[in-house]
Amino acid sequence: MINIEGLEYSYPHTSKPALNSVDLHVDKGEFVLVTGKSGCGKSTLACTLNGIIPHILGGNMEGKVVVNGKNTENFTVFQMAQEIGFIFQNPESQFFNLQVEDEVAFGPENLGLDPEEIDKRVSKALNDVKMTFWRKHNVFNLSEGQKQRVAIAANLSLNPELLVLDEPTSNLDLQGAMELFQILGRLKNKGKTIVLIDHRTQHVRELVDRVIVMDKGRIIHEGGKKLLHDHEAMKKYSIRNPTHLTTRMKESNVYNTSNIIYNASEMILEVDNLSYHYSSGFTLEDVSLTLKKGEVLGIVGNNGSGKTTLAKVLVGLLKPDKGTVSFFPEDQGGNKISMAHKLGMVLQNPDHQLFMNTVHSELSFGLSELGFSPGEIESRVETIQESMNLSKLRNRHPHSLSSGEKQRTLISAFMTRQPHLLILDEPTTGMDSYHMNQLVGEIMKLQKYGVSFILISHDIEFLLKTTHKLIFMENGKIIDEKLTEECYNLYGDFKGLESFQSLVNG
Amino acid sequence: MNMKNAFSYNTSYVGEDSVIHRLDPRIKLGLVLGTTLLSVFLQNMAWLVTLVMMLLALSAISGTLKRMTKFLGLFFLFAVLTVAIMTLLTRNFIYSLEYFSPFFLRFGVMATAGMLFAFTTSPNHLSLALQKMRFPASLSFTLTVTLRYIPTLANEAEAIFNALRLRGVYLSNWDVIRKPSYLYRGMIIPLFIRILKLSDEIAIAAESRAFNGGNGRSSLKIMEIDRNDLFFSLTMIMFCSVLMVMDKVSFSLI
Repeated sequence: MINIEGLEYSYPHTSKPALNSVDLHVDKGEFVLVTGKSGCGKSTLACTLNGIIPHILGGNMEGKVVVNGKNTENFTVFQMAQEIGFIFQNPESQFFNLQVEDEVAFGPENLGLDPEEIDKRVSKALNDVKMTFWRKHNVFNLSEGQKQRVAIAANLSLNPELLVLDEPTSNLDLQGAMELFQILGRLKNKGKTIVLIDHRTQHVRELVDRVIVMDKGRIIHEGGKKLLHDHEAMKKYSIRNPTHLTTRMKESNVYNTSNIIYNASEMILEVDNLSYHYSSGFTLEDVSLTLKKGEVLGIVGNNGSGKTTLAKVLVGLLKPDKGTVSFFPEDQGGNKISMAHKLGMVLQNPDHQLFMNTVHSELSFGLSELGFSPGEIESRVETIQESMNLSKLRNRHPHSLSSGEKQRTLISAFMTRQPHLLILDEPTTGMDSYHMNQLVGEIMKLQKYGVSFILISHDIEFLLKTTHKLIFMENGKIIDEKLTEECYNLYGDFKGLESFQSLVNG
Repeated sequence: MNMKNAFSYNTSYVGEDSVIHRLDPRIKLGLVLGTTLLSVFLQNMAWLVTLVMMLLALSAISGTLKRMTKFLGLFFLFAVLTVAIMTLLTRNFIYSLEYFSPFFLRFGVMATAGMLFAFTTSPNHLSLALQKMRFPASLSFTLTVTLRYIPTLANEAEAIFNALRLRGVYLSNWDVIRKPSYLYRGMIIPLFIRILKLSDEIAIAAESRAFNGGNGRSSLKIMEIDRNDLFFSLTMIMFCSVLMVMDKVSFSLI
């Protein structure tokens, strides 16, 4: 199905190769997992399979990529579309229509097929992903998992033999991810060839036939699914492995968060009966919680359970209909400037939050609005730059940084305000093990200085490593609250992990 | 006004069903053009008001009147302010009202008809209608994709605006006058970066699904003018003809 020989590729305006001497052969009907650190070349490799590289992204490509007998160099991307379906990380931004059936029909319509044939293909594709019931619905009213299934159906309607999925679970909660992998299992049984690019491996253990690990543009390991059961090998290749985490926890207590010291007496946040109503009907209802100085709180729950809404109300982006949010000490009257002093929130997409030409100026952005003098701004920026290892990047353009570096820059930008509380919304989306552990280290470092954190995440491994307490949300309400250690004690083995995940999902 | 509320995926087309939603977009386009032209010819204010009321009634039937009032409210406020300023300058309320009423009523006809079309027509239907009218495929596709991505861009702008507020920068009108660089650095540059990234993503996604500039595209849905469309067209033609005749009669009486 896929035959790659001597593939080398570098992006336009760069000399460093993104792919280096890649040779790969995938048979028809195989399920291949491609994994590796962020920036190792996985997505670049995927883009060569349907000709996005070199036809759209340009750059310098050498070697041969043949998919289903077609050399991608001789066929354009739209000509390859009937051979290969490409499913992206975020389907929403790539939906062209509002109605499910129109979206699935988009591909066959481009082929100029007659309406009867299109209708037949749409029905079959929706049936394959179990979305027939939703045929007439608005795609933007579906859950994230359902959107991803519509994206798969939209590709299946072109009848491709090969499906390539680039980190399809990044935005999905556990339920959505499980549904997606059930569908992939069905497609595999129907004989489709599947190439999955992902950091998270716990759901695919039973599905994969082969695992390919990449690093610095090369394939550094190629083997069977056994690799996903070899904890040492997974650690070596920075593959995410939450099962191993909980097992190790039971054995050696190595990640026990009780070693993170916090001042249990000093309260910094008290939320009392907070409610917020969207005009769409979704309601955040009677949420109450407290946070102490240096405490790290995790908020978990399905997509749409109200986690981000709660965070937005806390930081003042949304005004609550009912209830109070009190920050202590109440020194500056709670006006908007003092709120920016007291807390910061790093949103999901760093691109929305970077405004300046250099990392150095990014850290000082907005500080003058808070009343700091130029001298004070400079000294604060220098100190934070040093402590957050950003000195080497001080003159780089923030948009040219890697996603991990962008996130570090943003956290640092808030640190210059010496905030009491930092809220991070899904900070580990698309992060490999190495970068996730780096972020864990940064949180622990700042926490020791007395900064409290609220972490919103689906990433159980990350939450287990960082939080003192977890609250579980569903339909806009807090349904449970537990110390993280209690979760360890209750769920310290693999079976327990599944229970923990089901608890995460209410 | 909240950008997300103003341009949500539900603002332009809710996916709800009504007689007006089911009409062929070509008939609705005809209604927009017809009523706009008629508003130019009508001289009597009473018939112009009747035309606006008819369009509002159609909006109520389609269930879009509530959303429309947000925009029409702003328009009405602008009209009242204009008349008030003119009254202050001329010290003659009746003159100001008579001077501005035809202008605002005609603009009201165009705005209401335009919104009725936008709120009851999905981008996909619009694309089909344009294709039927032999519009070049590449242009009709570009237009419909643009309409589809307006809410996405509004979401992006909202996210950037929120990010600025989180950094303590509140882009009030006074802030923009005081420090225009905040608007440029804080809003325009990040929005442009996102637009460029989105454009790349859209191009890649479209080509990956066999899109070839819209040439030779077919459609799942067949668009044909049916009995309901004809009945609606005839009713509207009769209504507009009556208005024209009445207008002529009242004009000749004067």
